[in-house]
Amino acid sequence: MSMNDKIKTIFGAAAGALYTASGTLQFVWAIFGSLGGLEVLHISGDLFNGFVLLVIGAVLLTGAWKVSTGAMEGVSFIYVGLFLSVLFGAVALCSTVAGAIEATFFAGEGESAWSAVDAVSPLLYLAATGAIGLLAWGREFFRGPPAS
Amino acid sequence: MESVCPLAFLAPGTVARVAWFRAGKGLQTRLFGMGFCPDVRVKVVSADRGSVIVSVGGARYALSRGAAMRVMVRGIEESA
Amino acid sequence: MKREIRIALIGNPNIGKTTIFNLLTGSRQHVGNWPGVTVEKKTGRLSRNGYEIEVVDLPGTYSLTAYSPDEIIARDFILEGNPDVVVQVVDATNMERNLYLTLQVAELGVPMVIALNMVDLARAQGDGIDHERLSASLGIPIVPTVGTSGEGVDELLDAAIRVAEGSPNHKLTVDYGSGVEVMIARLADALTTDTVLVDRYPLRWLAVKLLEGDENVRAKVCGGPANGRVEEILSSIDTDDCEARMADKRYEKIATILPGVRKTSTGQRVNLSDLVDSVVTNRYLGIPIFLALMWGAFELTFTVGAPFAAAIEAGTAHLAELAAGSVESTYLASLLGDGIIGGLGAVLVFLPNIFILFLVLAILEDSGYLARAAFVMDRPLYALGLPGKAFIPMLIGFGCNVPAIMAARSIENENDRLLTILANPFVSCSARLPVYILLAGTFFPEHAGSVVFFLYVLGIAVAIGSAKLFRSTILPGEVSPFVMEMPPYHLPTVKTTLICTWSRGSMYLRKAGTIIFGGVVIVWLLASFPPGVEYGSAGSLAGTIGHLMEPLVAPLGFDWKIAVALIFGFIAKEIVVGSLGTLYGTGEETLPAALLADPALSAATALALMVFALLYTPCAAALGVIRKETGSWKWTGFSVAYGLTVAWVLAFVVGHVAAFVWGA
Repeated sequence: MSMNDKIKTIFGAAAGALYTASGTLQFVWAIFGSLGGLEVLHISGDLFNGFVLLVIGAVLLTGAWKVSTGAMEGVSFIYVGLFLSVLFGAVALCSTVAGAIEATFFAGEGESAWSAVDAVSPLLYLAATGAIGLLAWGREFFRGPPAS
Repeated sequence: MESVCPLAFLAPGTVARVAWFRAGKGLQTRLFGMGFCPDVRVKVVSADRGSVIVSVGGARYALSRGAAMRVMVRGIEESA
Repeated sequence: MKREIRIALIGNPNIGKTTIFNLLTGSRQHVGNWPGVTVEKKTGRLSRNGYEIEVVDLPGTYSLTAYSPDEIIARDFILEGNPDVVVQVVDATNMERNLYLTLQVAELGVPMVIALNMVDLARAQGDGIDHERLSASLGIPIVPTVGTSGEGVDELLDAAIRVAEGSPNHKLTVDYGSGVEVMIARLADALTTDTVLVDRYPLRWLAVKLLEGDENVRAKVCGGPANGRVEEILSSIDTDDCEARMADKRYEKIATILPGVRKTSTGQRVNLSDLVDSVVTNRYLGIPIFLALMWGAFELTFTVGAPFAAAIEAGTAHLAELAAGSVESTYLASLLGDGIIGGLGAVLVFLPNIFILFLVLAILEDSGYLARAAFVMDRPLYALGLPGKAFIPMLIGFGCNVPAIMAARSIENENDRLLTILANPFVSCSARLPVYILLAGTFFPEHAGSVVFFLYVLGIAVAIGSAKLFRSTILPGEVSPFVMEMPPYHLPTVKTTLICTWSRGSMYLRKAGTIIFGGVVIVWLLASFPPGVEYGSAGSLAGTIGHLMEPLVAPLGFDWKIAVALIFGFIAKEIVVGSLGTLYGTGEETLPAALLADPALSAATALALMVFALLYTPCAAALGVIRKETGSWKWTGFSVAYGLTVAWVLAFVVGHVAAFVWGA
C-alpha cells in the first residue's frame, strides 16, 4: 500500500471516528440529557442529526477498515464519506443561513433571539474534515484509479 | 454440456454470456431492448444476495433478485 | 412559400433526446432518468430556411414492441402520425443498444436521420466513431451532435429538411436468416388479402411483428380477411423462440457494422460510477445513506423554505389589509380580504417548501443517484408488495400528491402502477401541514414536532399497509421484477434541474390558481349567505350543511364546524384551516385560542381530527389526476370510499384510545 493510501486510510479512520463519536453523543444527550460540558460541542440531542453523523462515520470507518484488510476498493468508501461530509456540511450551512435570515427579518414578538452559536452543529464543523480531504485528494479521484 | 446458471448467483467481477430467459414476454422484450440478447457478454459489477448490477455493452443495469433469477447465463469466467 | 415539415424525434431513454428537443424548439421539457416519464407527446415548432417545422418528441424507448404504452405511442405515431422524417437520437457511448432501435425504426420504412449525440463523451471514453462510414453502411444521414453545447443542431435540422424533401430513402433491413425469412414471406403472402391493412402498414414489418408475437399487430390482423391463414402459419411456430432469434440477428448485424466504424481504446478503464456504486448500493450502507440523504432533503425543505414562507405570509397579510381597507362594500372587502387573499395566502405559503423539495429531488435525479436509490429501496419495498419504482412517487407525494401520482407512470406493470396510485394519497402532502401545525401547536405545544412526525409516519404506514391489503385482495399478483438502467453519474445541469423542478412545482401552482381559488370563493359564499347572516355562523349555508353532516362525525367527537371544514377540505386540504377560522369567527392569530376555548374540542379530539385530515379522501385535484391516470371512475370512487373509511376508523380508534390514555 502506497504512503498516499496509508495517509488516506488514517485520515478516513480519524474522520470516521469523529463523526461516529458525535453521532453517538447526540443519542446520549437525547436519552440522558447534557452530561457536563457537551454544550461546547454544540450537541443538540437531535436524533436525526445523530443518525446522519453516524452514517457518515460508518461510511468512513468501513472504508478505512476495508483498506486495512487489503481490499483496495475501500478507498472509494473514504472518498464517498468525505463527499458526504462536505455535502451535509453544506446542508447545515444552508439551514444556518436560512435561520439567520428568518430570525433577522421575520422574528415574531416574544420569540427568543437567535444567535449564530445556536445554529452550529457537528454536521457543520466536522465538514471541515471532508473539505480538507477533498481538497487534498479530489482531483485524484476524478482522474480515476490507474487502469488495472 | 456447459453449465448454465441464473445471473443472480454470480459474484462481482464475473463475466458470462446470456443463455436464455425464464421470463414472461414483457420482461423478455424489455431485456432484449436493453441489449440482453443470447450470447451477449455480461459482466457483474456488484451483487448483493441475488440482486445485481451488470454491465452490458457499455451500459449499466440494475436487476432485482427476481429479475436476475430469470436470466440464465453460461460460459462463466470468474475474475482472478 | 412556406412548406410544413413534421419531424418525429425518437431515441433510447436517458440519452439527451429531450435536450436536443429543447435545443430544436426552445420549449420546456422534463428530462428524467426514469424510462417512461415522458409518456406525453410533446411538440414544438420552429422556422428554418422558409420551412415551418413541427417537432414531436416521442417517448424514450429501447425498442418498438407492444409491451409498453411508450413503445406503442412511438410506433403508432411513426406509422399513422405522418411524420415527414424521423430523427433518431443515438448515444455514441452505447452504440449496440441504440442501433438496435435504429433497425426497428428502419423496418417501419420511414425516412430517417440520425443525430449521433454525446460524441464528446464517447471520445473521452476513448471511442472514436467514423460517422461518415457508418452513414454509408446504414444508408442513413448521420449528424454528430453535442447536446450539452448545442453543436450540430443546425446541421441536424438541415439534414432533416433535406431528407423530408425527398432525398432517396434508406433501404436498411435485417436478414433474419433463411428459416425466419421463409416464414416472413409466407406471412406477407397471406397478408396481401387484407388490403386495408396492407395499405396502412409496411408488409414486411407486419410479418416481422407477427412472428415476434406482437399482440398489437396480431389484433390488427384479427377480424380481417387474412386472419385464418395467418393463424394457421403462426400456430406452427414458437413466437418466443422466433423473437429471440430475430433479436439475435439484429445484434449480429450491428456487430458486423460496428467494428468497421468504431475505434475503441485498448485496456479496461475502471469506471468511476462503479466505484461510487459499490459504496452507495452496499448491502449495509445503501439504505442508511439513502435515508440520510432524504433527511437532508427535508431539512433543506423546511429550513430554507421558512424565510420565504414567512415573507409570503407577511406579504399576504399586508395585501389583505390594503384590499379590505380600500374597498367600500363590506361584502367585497370580506371576499377580498378573508376569502381570496387569505385563502390563497394560506396556499402560497407552501410554495417555497414544495419547490425546494422538488428541486432537491431533481438534483438527485439528474445526478443519477435516484436510480441507485430505487435499486436499493427495491428490496424492502418488494417485501411490502410494492415495486421499487414506487418510492419516487412516494417521495414526491410529500410535496404534493398530484405530480406524485403522475410520476407513477414510470411503472410499467399495470397492477403495480395502480397499487402505487391508490396507496399514494396517504402520504402526507404539504397541504395537510397547516392543519397539523394549527392543531398540534395549539393542543400539544411542547410536543408539536413529535406529533407531526407521528402523523407523517402514520401516513406512510397506512400507505404501505393499504398496498399490502390491496395486494392480497383486489390486486393480486407478483410484483414485477425490477430492471432499470443505471446512467453514469454526472454533475446535474442547471437547466435540466430547473426545468424538472418547474414542471412538477407548476402543477401545484396550477392547482392553487384554479381549484383552491374556486374553493375559497365557494367557502366564502356559503359562509356569507343567506344575506344578513353573520359570517360563518350556524345560520349560514355552510352552517346548515355542517349540521346535516354532524351525526356522521359525532362519534369521532367532531361538531358541525369541523364537519364543514372537512367538507371544504375535500376541495383542497389547505382550505381546512381557513374554513375553521371562518367558522369560529376569528382570524388566524386568535383561532388557536378559540379552538382551546371550545369545550367540544379536547386534545384527544384534536388528534383524531389530525388523523382524519391525514387519511380521508384525496383532494379534488388529486382525484382528478387519479381519474386521468387510471382512466376509470371505479378506482377514483374507490379511492374516495376507502380513504373515508380508513380515516373514520383510525380517527375513531386514535381519538378514543387517546382519550382513555389521557383520562379525559
